[in-house]
Amino acid sequence: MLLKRWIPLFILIFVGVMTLISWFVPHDPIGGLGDNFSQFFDIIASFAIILGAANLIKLQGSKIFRRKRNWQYSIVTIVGFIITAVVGINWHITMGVLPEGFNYIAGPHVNQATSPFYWIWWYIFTPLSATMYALLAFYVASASYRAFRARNLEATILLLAGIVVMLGRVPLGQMLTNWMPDAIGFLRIERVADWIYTYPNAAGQRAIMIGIALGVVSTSLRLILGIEKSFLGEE
Amino acid sequence: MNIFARLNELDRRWIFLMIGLSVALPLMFPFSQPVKVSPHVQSVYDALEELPDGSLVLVSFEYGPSTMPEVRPMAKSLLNYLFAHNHKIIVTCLWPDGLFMSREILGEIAVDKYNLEYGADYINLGYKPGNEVVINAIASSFSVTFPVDTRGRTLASYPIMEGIENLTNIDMIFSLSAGFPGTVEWVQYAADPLGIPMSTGCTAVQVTEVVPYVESGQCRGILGGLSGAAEFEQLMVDMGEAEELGAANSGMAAQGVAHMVIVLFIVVGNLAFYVERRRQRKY
Repeated sequence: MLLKRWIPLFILIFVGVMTLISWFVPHDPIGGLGDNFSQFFDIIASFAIILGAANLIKLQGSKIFRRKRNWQYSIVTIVGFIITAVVGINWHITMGVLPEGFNYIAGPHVNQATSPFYWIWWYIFTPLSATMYALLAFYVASASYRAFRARNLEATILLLAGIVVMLGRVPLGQMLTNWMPDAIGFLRIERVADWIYTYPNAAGQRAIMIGIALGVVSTSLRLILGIEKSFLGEE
Repeated sequence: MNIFARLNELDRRWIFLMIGLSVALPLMFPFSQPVKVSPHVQSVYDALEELPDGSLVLVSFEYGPSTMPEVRPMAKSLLNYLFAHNHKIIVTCLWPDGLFMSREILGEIAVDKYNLEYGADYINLGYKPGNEVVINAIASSFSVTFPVDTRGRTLASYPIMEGIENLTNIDMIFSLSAGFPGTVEWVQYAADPLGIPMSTGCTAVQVTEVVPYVESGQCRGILGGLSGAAEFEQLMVDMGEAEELGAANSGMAAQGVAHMVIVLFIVVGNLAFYVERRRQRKY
């Protein structure tokens, strides 16, 4: 009970309260504590890669052993992961003696364009990643054709706003209203698109942001005051 | 089955084919279009123009290969402008991919084009995990957050970092962003609390969430997506900062045609939907 509940709760409350106070009291030792906690976070965040790697192996390994649907792709994932990790980490360790003036080397996988890690990143990961993203254009077009329907007033407004913004952002679309004289220049499609971005969109975004901020404040307070205990696995 | 019913049941492979052609053909047979500079892009340029020559600018790379076609052209134009005006650049990366992106483009612009000295004219601090906490940390200290740069040397060993303790010593922040963490976090944790001028170039889908910060003056302008990059390139040529247009303008033809085709599909889809609904109600 002490290890699983009270110590994590004490750490959370202590760090939360001290970080909060450090914003208002910039003098040492309290002011420095906030900076130190930021450093602690960086260090803890770095360890997340170990958890991520372990989780990937566990999930994909499980798919292979249980011969789940498309289990063959899991082999590719694990092999790709192991090769990339070994190539990157191994080249790092075998750097040898550090040159004078250097106390740490990030590793040739980052600094040398000829390293295998660099090659894997540029010639395998980059085209694959770009391809995945490029495919979105096809699915967006298909989904727009089927789902973007003026079924009611709200959907029609959304549809018109979407079309105006799409056309207003490209020169080809802007050409459609270039003929308009300056007296009614505010009706040109790019001006209307800018207006949509600047007013209705900004208003909606601000409402969302204020809502999120209030949610973050209330959740943080619940955590700091020890009311919210879901992170301990409690209801 | 009438034509509208058939349109409602259109095989999506036809849509894929049309989109493929609308992107591929303009790339193979490019055509020029007049690019108008929007107020948001003009604001970015004005913010850059207000910097005295030799200012210290922090450029943060938060994009990867998937968003490279959108953000890289603006990164290229920006670095060209900054180096041409003798500004010093500190590069940070909140995304691991950003390290590769920054190395590649610095190699092309700083090394190959301007033959600048690493550590004196620019420095790459690399990637650090922690998202917005990294921004918060460099607001206090660069050397504590980044004990070494990407070459493994302490920051104090470089002339560019002399007298540079934290973000308050920076004249401007420029975020090249494709998502989280990115522009919004730089505004919230650095530019606004510390009063540092900031501007951004980001993907088109991010524009909607960044615009409120632009309208409030917390972010000086925005280069939004490929069209923002194309407008910035056009502005660079118009103001005599560059001799020719770049990759963004080349891509605008493809993006323009693709947008037109998608709009056409939406209109046709709605027309078919409307006619079919009327017919069903009638019978």
